[in-house]
Amino acid sequence: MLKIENIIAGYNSKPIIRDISFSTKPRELTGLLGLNGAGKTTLLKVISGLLKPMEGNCYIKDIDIYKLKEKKRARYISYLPQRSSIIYNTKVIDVVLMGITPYLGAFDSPTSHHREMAYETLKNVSMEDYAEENFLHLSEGQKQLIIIARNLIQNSKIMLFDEPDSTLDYPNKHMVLGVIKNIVGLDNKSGIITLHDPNLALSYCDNIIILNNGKIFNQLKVREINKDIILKNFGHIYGNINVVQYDGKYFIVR
Amino acid sequence: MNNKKNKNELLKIYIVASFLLGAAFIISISIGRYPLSIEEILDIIFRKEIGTMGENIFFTLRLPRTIMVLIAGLGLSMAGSVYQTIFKNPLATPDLIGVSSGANLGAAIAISFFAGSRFSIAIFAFLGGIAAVFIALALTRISKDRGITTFVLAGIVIGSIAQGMIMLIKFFADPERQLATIEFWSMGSFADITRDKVITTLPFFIIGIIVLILFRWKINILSLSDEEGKSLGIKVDTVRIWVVIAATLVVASIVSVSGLITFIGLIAPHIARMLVKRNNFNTIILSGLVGAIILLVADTLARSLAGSEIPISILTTFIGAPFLAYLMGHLRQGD
Repeated sequence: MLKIENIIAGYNSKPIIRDISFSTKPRELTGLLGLNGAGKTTLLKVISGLLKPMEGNCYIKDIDIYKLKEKKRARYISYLPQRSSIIYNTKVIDVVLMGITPYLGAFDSPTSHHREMAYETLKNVSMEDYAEENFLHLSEGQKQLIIIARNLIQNSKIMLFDEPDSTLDYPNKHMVLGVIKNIVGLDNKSGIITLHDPNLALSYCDNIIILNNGKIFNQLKVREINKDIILKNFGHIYGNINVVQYDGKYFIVR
Repeated sequence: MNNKKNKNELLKIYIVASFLLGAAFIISISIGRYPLSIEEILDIIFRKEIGTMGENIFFTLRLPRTIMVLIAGLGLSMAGSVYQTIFKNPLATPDLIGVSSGANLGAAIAISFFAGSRFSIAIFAFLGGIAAVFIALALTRISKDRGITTFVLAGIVIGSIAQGMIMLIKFFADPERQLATIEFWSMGSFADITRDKVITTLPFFIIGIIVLILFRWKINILSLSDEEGKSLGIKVDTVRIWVVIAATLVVASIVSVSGLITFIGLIAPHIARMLVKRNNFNTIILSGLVGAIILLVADTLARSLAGSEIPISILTTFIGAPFLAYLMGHLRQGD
């Protein structure tokens, strides 16, 4: 679905990520893991089109995303920030409606039909009862669900998530990641998520890409993973780790 | 159901605001050194009294002045609300990007070097306000980062340079006439408004407002971070520039004939936002209604409180600030 070829990118002509190539499949969630400074966020920005790479290409079903205008690109790619930047009182339903922007004419605003769509989309994240609430009054976890709904109404095949768990407490981390996994399975989406916690990646992702010093260290299929693979790959970036097995899943301990 | 209740409540607020605006307009139009009763005004409008003193005053002074106050209240408050939204800063005012300082400098130049006829002051103030913003925009363009911080810094740079030049002009100005005129200009007044001034202001005001209305939805999206805006498919840099230019046109066209009017562009948007507890283009329009009401009351007081006209900014501050304090006490922002 998404095909990334030989990406080199960075800021002020200093490359931060190099030789990045990988591709994603529909209904799969791909986790980007790595230490701070490994290039996770830079890579996510390159894929979202916010940062143009110095070299390399990025295709969605043979469409070169860097040749698309902002509006068109937003129909293919959505982006969930670590936390939303909304600072003024805004109704939940109005936040979701923002996702319809890539489908509006230059001087249009959403119609009542769009409003209906936004309400229906809220049901996908079970937040329909909050439609008229003030977004700023919600918990951080609920806020992320609303932004996920906004991404859903954007109807993009590629969904990017930038550390969506970073401001959440323990149960909310699992709740939000569970929703993300379900959403990606829905309707042939392909998701890419940056995460810090390898155990969350092992529990929720289908593929894991480990970044180290701006390069891909290894790509793993979670279905085919075993203790040795984990020790070898994750040990390389997280240091002295151990792996335990519980309920058919692997967990990294240290 | 909930939705309907909310809509009704919103409608109620707009109806009350429009009613108050109408009342303020009628009161403002009848009070002054030459009071006109509502019957007299109706007679004048329906041409029953022709060639009277009342008719003369109504059409050449009172009506243009009241309309200008209405326009100024609407325009400054809507522009303030737009600035607060797109700069993601609840303290942003129309001066953020340098328009007021530029207009002030233009007026000071006209007063000191070009004899300071009312016409030349208006032209120079208008051009000064527009020029300041375009220089600030140019500074932003040559910078690598075209984010909000660059915008604000450019505005501060231009505003400071303009202020410095104003001080210089004031220092060399004739204290009896020029200095006093510059000072009075910067406190604002609607005393000199004529029909011609209103007619020359209107096209710029209308163009600016139309552009803002066209961008109504995108203004909303600009209140998000640039990254979020871009990922929603908006060309944030381009849209922001158009919106800034439109808002500047509105502000410059107003202050060029009225002088600086402080506080209204800051306070009206806050009052509107506290009343409806949300921020979108409807709130921006409500800001305009609230600002027009406050300014009509302020201008009516300005010409009736004392023997001579009181500068409008003194009144907008004394009416606006306590009202904001009252609202702060009764409604919390997040409620």
